[in-house]
Amino acid sequence: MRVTGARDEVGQLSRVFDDMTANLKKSREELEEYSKGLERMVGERAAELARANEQLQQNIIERKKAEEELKKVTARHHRLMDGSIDGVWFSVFEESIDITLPEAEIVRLMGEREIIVEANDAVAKMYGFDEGRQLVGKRWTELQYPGDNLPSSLELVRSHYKIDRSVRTEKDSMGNITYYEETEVGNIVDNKLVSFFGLTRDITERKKAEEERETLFEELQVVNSKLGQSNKELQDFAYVASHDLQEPLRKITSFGTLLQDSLEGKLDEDQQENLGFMVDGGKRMQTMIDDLLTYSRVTTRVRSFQQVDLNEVIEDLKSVELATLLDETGGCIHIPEPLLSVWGDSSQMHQLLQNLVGNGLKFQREKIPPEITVQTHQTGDNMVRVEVQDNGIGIAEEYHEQVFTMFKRLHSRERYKGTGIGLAVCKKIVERHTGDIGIKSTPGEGSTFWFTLPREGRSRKN
Amino acid sequence: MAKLEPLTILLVEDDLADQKLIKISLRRQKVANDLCIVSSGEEGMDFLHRRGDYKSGAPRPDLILLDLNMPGMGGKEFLRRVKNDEHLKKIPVVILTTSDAERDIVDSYKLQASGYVSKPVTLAGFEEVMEKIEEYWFVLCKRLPKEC
Repeated sequence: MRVTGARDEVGQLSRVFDDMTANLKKSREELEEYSKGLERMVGERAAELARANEQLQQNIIERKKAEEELKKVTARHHRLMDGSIDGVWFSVFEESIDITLPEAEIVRLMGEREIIVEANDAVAKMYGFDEGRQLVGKRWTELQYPGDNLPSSLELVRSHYKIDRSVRTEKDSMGNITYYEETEVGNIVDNKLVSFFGLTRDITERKKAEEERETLFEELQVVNSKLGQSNKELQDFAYVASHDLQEPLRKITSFGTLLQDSLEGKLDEDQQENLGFMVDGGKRMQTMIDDLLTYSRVTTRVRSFQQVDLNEVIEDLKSVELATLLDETGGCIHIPEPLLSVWGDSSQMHQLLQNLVGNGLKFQREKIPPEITVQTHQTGDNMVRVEVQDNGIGIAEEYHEQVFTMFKRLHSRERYKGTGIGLAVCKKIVERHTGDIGIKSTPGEGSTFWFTLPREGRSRKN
Repeated sequence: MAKLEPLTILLVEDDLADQKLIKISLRRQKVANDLCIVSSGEEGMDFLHRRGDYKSGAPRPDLILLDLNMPGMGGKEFLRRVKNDEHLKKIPVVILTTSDAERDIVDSYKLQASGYVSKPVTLAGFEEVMEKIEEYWFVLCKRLPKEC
């Protein structure tokens, strides 16, 4: 009897089953474990992917930014090219050229390999096209006419691939010449010529303007010399007139005076008076001729302009030319503030102030010592306004313009000396210095003579 | 007391009226003078060299007053010849002329004139000028000894 046998089989089976179950459990645990591991890995991979994705997005954003930037720069570039009146072009060499090769070789290769990659409309028009686009892909050799003297390849090689503003010409079928200013710069990397960029400026207008200027300049020289000649003639005339006229006049007055002296007591009152009128007339004429000479000399005896210190001029007048008059009249000259300097003919400045200040002293009010005040101030248009004020007899408004006329006198000769040329000379001097002159005055209260002179000279020869 | 010898002034002037004016002006001066007048450069040369009309003799002038504006041998030529002559060049020559042109002044001094005076316009002016010339040349300056 084998009972245990069957139980052994079940037992075995159940043991096998248990084993299997245990194995299964183990497998399941391992699977779970593995699965967990896998999940982890997936999770990690997912995270990596997410990061990579983020990075990619970032890159895309940055690239978009760069593209935007590039678009902007390109747009700017095109605006520059399109907007430029000068011709601008870029060329590349299909294969860069080794610049250590012999000259002739480089020249040949330049001819073969250079292609225009960009050009603006201005360049295109120079070659008979409308738009720069039409030149892209072409070679220079296809475009140029024989007889153009644009820089040659050999020239470029010899000038180390750089030509700056070289002047060239082009003649068209009708013989019209166009002038260009040509700039070409080669781009060299590691001893290899990679590309060129060039600027071409049409300077025909400029050349024409330069030629016109030359012509004008020559014409100006001619006019200038004619002016100098006419001036000299005028000077000669004034000189001759004054001297030759003075000769016979001198005889009249000198011998007239001798007669007066020798006939003293032998003539009656009437005869003496007649002789006197004659001699006086002669003397007056001499003075007037002298004055005319002075007046004409304002423009004929010219000296070059310079910076003139008016304070020094007044000092000179005080101590020399007007010393006697100041003494005789008991007058004085006030300068409340240092006077500004002016740009002009030094001796004429002396003449001008001497006449005006002298007048102020001369035409004094009865018994009132003359007081002259001189002031300056700068005016807007770079001129200096000078004012000479006196406390003399004044001038009525109706005469304010007349007094500047030659030989115009408002008073009799007995009352105040002088021929009346002083103010005419002043006016001429002021006008020669491109200034103005005028009076503010009330009879009985004094006058203010004002005039304007340039403050400084322009830095060119006068 | 030594007697002051009169000065001899040679006036070279072609204009008769001016000759008279200068003579009258000098006459009115205090310093005694012998005024010799010639009317041209050529005559002046004859005078100085004691030849031609002056063969019989002529005094050595202490001062020559010279007009520039003369026909024939002009003042400048006369001045050049005097200053180129060994014996004559010591005599001071003062130009007395109508011109006040810079050119004339420069040329005269270059030719070694000792002074340059513009003829005055009035008689009074002439007198004043003559007085000053005399005062300078014969009172202030030492004279050249007669025998030279």
